[in-house]
Amino acid sequence: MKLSDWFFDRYAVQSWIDFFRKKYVPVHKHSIWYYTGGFCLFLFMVQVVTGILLLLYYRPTAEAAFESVQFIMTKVRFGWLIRSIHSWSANLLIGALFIHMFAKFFLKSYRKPRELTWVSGMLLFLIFLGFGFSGYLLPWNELAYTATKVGTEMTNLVPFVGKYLLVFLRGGEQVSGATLTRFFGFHVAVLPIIVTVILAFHLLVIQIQGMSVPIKLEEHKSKLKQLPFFPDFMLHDMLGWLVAFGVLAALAALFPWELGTKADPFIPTPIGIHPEWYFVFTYQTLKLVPSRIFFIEGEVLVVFGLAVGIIFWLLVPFLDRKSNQGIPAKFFTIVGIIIVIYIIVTTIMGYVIPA
Amino acid sequence: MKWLNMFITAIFFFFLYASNGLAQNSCIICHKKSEDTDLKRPTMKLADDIHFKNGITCEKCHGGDANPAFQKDEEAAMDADKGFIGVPDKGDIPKLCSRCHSNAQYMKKFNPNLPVDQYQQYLTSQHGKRLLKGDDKVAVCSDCHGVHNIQPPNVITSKIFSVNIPKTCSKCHSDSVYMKDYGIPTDQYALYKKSVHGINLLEKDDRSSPSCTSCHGNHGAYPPGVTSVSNICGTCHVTQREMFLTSPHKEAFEEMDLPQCIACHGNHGISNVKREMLGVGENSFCINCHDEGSEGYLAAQKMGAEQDSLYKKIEQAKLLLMKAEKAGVEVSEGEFILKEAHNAFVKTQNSVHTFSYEKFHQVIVPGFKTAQNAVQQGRLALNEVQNRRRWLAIISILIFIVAISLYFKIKAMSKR
Repeated sequence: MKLSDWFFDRYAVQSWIDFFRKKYVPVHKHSIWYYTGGFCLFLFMVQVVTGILLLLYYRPTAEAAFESVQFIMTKVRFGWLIRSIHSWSANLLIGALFIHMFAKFFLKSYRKPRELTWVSGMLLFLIFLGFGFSGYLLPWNELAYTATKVGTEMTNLVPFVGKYLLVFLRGGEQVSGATLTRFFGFHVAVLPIIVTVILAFHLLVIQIQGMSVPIKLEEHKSKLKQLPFFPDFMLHDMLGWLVAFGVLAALAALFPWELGTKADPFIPTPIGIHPEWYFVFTYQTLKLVPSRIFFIEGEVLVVFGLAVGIIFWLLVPFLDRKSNQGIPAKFFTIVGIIIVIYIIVTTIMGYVIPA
Repeated sequence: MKWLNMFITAIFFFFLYASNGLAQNSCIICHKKSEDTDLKRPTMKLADDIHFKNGITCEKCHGGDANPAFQKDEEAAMDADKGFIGVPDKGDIPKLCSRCHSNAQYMKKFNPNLPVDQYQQYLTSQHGKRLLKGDDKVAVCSDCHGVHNIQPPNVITSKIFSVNIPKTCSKCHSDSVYMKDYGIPTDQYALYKKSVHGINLLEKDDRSSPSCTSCHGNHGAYPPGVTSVSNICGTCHVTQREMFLTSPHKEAFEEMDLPQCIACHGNHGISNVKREMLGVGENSFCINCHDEGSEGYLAAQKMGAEQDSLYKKIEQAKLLLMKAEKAGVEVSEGEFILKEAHNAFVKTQNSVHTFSYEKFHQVIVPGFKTAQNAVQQGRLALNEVQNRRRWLAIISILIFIVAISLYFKIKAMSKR
């Protein structure tokens, strides 16, 4: 008796195989965007594997964190490669998530019946930003320390609960060893658990509902060429993953992620400091808004605007009624374009305009 | 009503307290009103004056009666019978100040740690000696400390605040016309400003760097003698002094009447130590005394060569580590060793003051080992760069082969 038969006898493995064999992916001029999700998934898997390897040596205390990362980079065999891949992949993942999210937005893939796919995807995006923010502090270097100080300071602007939120995030009034331990906990335990649950749901509903096609092609959906999910689409996906792996290896070897200098809470904030590139647009918005607009503090207004923006973005499938009726919604396309332009312009400004 | 009375009384005492000082002194009341600038000037900066702040007002130095009742009776206020002396003679100033400043019992009230021997010291100084001989061009207390706006030395605007001392001394010592009778140079301040000490104190605000008084003393200011120079430099440069005093140069310098440290390093214009100072090169100091072929000349030659060799080794390590760091390799360990090598170099330069090749060599050997270690770290780091690129090339080729195979597989499948 073959081992596979033993499993097939007991579990409904065959039905899953049949399901994937019967699953097809429509082929059209926008099909390229179907691969963005798989690309994100690949980078996430890279993060998990390299993250676990880093965990073998990393020590999450203010006294030892920097030295342990230094040890990984200098003494551990291929440690520099693992750490560099983890850092590069994290940044590529956020970039890929941005592309995946906006691609699905402009294709209106969120429309009925995929509302919860969009909502779960959005939640994943926010959680990955949380991964980025919490992971950035872990090497406990000067840049990370300052960025965390500035970033967590923003929570203080939230009305009523801001102060409590700040203390909760930092584990005290100031960014300290307690913050590092807390962020480590978020990064390797809390966020991974939440991601696992939401990602499982996200992938499950995609498999159940299949790929969405653009509104204009919806009528001719049955006439579209179909690509078997397994093995054809998977092989296409893997080709992309291979290229991504090559790019990651090249980036890690040619431009290893720097460690910088150890964080020192007593030195003043270095000049010209800014957060990770994916937070620069919010940081720049804070700088652009006047300190007071009518009777409200400018910074409070930005935080409020950001919160409203996130809720709007999360509820897009329920707000865009036209797309749900199969009519292209120009309003939402224009809103999307404005948001993309705003993010790009403010990010460039954040790097070009001196602090 | 009781509360109202108390309130009014409190207000009255507040204003009485607030108006205390400037307005309660007939000298100040009149001089402040005066249209003659010379008469008005003393009152202008009084509020910052340490004496005034401690309640020591005009009459304590100038005599007379400062009772505000005499503000309209100049003769009563400036009555010679009440000890009024007007502007004291310059020659009398040290004695005048010493009436209080040499009185330990009295000075304890204000600052128990303040020395009370300034006058005694002043009498031993070149300034004091000349003053006693009737030369009133020399500096007295008020020339350095100011007159009516005297501030303690820890106040940044004080004339005797560490950073301001060179300028205070230079007021007279850089004035060639004023100093022409004394036959001493007037370029000390110009030289000092460009010296390592001057740059540290005046430009880098390093207050541990010496100013004029650190070497010459303050109240007892006197040029140091030829044989006591190392005592002065040695206050800060302790190890160099110890080495010099046990070196063969000590006696030799004494015999040749050379002023110890100054003989090589200079005084007011002292510059940063340069490598070329050691050895037998064009800018070497050793060849000023040691003739070619002599024992000292050969020792200097060997010491200079070894020092240069260590310097080059350190530079080589620095370059290698910099290259590796630019290529993205973590070199903090190498940099740490490099710092140690640099410290060893400084130690070697220090050991020159033994003026013994054997002792110098003993110090430089561990330095060579450390520098070699730093070079090794640099080479290892650069090897690491090469290894990474080699691995990247291998992996890229493998990925390329797999990707191409996959591409053809997909092509074949799409034709099916």
